[in-house]
Order: sequence, then C-alpha cells, then structure tokens
Amino acid sequence: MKLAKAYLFLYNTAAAIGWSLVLGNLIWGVYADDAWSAVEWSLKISQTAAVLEILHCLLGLVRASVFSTILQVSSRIYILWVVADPFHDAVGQFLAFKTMVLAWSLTEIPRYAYFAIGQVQKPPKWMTWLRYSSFMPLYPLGAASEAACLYTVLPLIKEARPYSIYMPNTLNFALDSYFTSICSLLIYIPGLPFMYSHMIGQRAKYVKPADVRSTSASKKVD
Amino acid sequence: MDVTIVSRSGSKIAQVSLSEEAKLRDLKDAFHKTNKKYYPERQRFTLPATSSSEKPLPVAEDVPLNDQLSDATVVFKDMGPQISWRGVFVIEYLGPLLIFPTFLMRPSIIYGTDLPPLIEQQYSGFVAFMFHYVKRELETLLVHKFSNSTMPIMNVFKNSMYYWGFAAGIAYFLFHPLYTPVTMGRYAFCMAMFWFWEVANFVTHAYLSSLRPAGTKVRKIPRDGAFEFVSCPNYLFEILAWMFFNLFTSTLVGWAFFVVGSAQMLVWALKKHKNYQAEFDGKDGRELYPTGRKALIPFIL
Repeated sequence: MKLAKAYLFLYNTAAAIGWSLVLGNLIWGVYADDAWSAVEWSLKISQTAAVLEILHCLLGLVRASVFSTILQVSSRIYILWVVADPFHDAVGQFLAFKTMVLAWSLTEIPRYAYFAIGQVQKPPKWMTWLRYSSFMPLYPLGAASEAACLYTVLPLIKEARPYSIYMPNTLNFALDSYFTSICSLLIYIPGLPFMYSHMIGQRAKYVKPADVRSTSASKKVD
Repeated sequence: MDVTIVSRSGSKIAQVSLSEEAKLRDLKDAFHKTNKKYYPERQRFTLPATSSSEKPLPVAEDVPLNDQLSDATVVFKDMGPQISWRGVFVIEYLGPLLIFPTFLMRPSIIYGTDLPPLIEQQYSGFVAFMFHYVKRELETLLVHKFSNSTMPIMNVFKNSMYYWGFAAGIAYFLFHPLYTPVTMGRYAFCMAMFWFWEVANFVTHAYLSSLRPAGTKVRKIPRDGAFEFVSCPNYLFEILAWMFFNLFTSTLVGWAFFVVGSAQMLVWALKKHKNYQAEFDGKDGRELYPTGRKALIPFIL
C-alpha cells in the first residue's frame, strides 16, 4: 500500500537523521566534556519515537518479530528514562554512557537508512552488508555499556526509586523500580545472546556469502 | 508427476514422484519417506515466492498439486518438533491451577509474616479464576474437537509464559496484604455477571463440539442464539466474563491480562469469520454463510 510505504519512508528517514544528530552531538559533547546536555534532546526524541516500531509490527506494516522488537525497544527506553535521565548528573560522566550512545547511534543510522531506502528500491549490497554486520561489534558494546550504567546506578535507584508506585490503591498495583532494575540487569544474560543470534539468523537470510567479498578473514555464515 | 522440493534459500532438497491427482497430504507422506526426521506435522510447504517482501503462500490442502504449481516446485520449511494442541493446552492451563493455590495457602513465602486475614472478595476471585482454568482443562480433554493436530513445541514455552506469568501477576496483587476491594454492590453484580458469561461460554463450546463428528475436521455453519449475530460468540462471552472478573477484583495486572487476551481473541475471531465466509461461499452446492453476521461484536465488527 502506497501510503504505508510513504509513511515508513518518512519515519525511517526522520529516525536516521535523528540518530545522526545524536552522533554529532555526542562527538561535540565528549569534546566539550558535557555529553549528557549535548545528546539529551536528540537522544530522547529519536529513541522514544522507536516505540512506534512496536505498533508497526503489530499492525503488520513491517515484517519483524514483535517479541524481539518489544525486547529491543523496551530495554532502550528503560535505560534512557529510568537509568540515565533521573541520574544524568552521574551517568553523563560515565565512559559507559558515551560508549553506549556511540554504539546505539552507530547501529541505528545504517539500520534506519537501510529501511528508508528499502521503501523505494532494493538497497545497494554495501548498505545491506552494513546494516546486517554493524551489530556484530556494536551489540556487545552497547549491551555491556548499558549493563555497566545500570549496575553503577543501582545504589542511586535504591535510594530514589524513580517512577515507583505503592499500595494500597484502587487498582491494586505496585511497582518498585529498584526491583525492576535488578530484573532488567539479569535479563541481559539471556537477552543479549537471544538478540545476537536473532541478528545472525537475519544476516544469513539477507547477506548471501556471494555478496561478501571473499577474503581469508571473512566468516562463512551458515 | 515429479515434484521438486527446494529449501527457502533455493537449494534442492529432494524430488518425489506422485500421482497426477496428488494433493498436499500425498506430498507430505512421500517426503516423509525420503527423510524420516520430517514427519508430516513438521512439514510446511509454500509456493515459490514471487517477491521477497511478500509472505509466501501456503500450498492448499484440498486442491490437487497440479493445479497449484506452475513448475512442479515447492518450498519446504521445517516447523520444528511438534506437540499436540491438546498437550499444549493441558500444560499452559496447569500453571494457573498450581500458582493460585500457592499464593492462597502459603502467602508467607511471598509476602512475609504478620498478614491480615483474606477477605471475601479475594476468595471469590480465587474461585472464579480457578473455575475458569479447571473448565478449560476439562474442555480440552473432553469437549473440544481440534482441527489441527499439532503446533511447534516452542509454543509451549511462549504460551505458558503468558498464562503462568499473568496468573502469578494477578495472584500477587489479588492476595496482597494491602489489597483494596471494590464496593459491595459492584462486587456482587459483577461477580454474578462473570459466572453468567462463563456458563454461556461453556454452553457455546459444547454446541460447537456437537457440530463436528468425532475424528473429523468437518466445519458446519453454527446456528441460533448468539451465532445469528456473530461467528465467535464463545470468544465474545469469554471477553465479557474476564471484563466482569476484573470489574469485581480490580487489579491493573488483571486488566492488562484482559486487554491482551481480548486483542488475541479479536484476531482469532476475524480469522475464523473469514474462514467461514471462504468455505461457505454458496458455490458448488455449499451453503452460503449468513451475510448479516459479524466476527465478534454484534452489528459492529
């Protein structure tokens, strides 16, 4: 459907631009020694907008796994809004914060550019290769950075308990962000291998061995 | 006819000789003979794809292969180890039946000591929830007549996480020492409504079962009562039952469970409605599916 293609083209282009801004801001922020202030708004907008992608999957606009999309997006949103934002004075100083934003933007720019082009024509082989290979160093870097930020900030979360909800209340619901943060940290243990192997599987589908210029260093993907 | 079986990446897997009138079942049996690992329930065959972004079309069961295949080629996908539908249902519904009593009878392991006694609304919620899943187990074993025999075994984990997870979540808040009940009037009315719609759902299941002779996959047009308005009154009644369950127990997790379950049932109802309309198209002596019916919500959807 033409409208869907147009919308997806616009969304993915906007996202690619957004993340390029994040990367640019990050470089500036590291140079100016205030990474958080530099990236804050471009990061918040670009990453939070990604929640739309869950909707895209559910509505069938995009052929992607709902589960892996929810896992991916919610872990990013959690790190951004529960870990980084409430404690940005501390987190902004971490090396892990900078490597995290670097990993995120370096993965997302090729990814969104690939999807944007894909609405119009078949993306060139090098773009496909980039989109399905950048995760290989960047997923572990990103996940390790996220986990490091989370772990370091745990004592602060225990103290402040951001976004927590307490009982009694009429909807009989409670949420303890210290508890959920520990659970989030533990989820990385199965989560990263799952996401990584999901991408390996995707790579096998889209990057045929013939596309990869054969050198002795290139791995045969099965 | 000779049918070539290829993998999704295009490489040839096997070639089988079939009769000219052969259908999907014959193809599956023949392929199974060449490779013992892939029993028929595990095999999925689709027509060669015309474009890479479209979902591949499955090979139809009742149409001779000769009429479906343009160049006698089919694409094979291994659906992985399978488990019977009956098996999955028994396992996934068992969780709630074990989890709720644990919370009720050993709350100290979850909430600690010095707990206030439970109130009537909590016991009623317990009975309602337990009844629902006992009913489901009994229906699975004695009432339902399944169309498909199996599903991928990974579904057991996925489905169980859903049922067991929500059961634990609802139990945690329903039996919580700081649980706040709704007003007596609302509790009484909504609980009564829950039971009414539960029974309605059961009656509908029993009727649907009576339409299908044992051991067949026959589908007949359901008649009378709510069926005159919707294709899937069983889903509608279950949605109503859960709505009233949450209105009288009032937990956010319970409402989340309601939303997810209802969305799933809506999707199933739309699919089922489409299948009925496709099968009962009024041609070749088949009945025409009544046109006024909607999928799930009378007059609306």
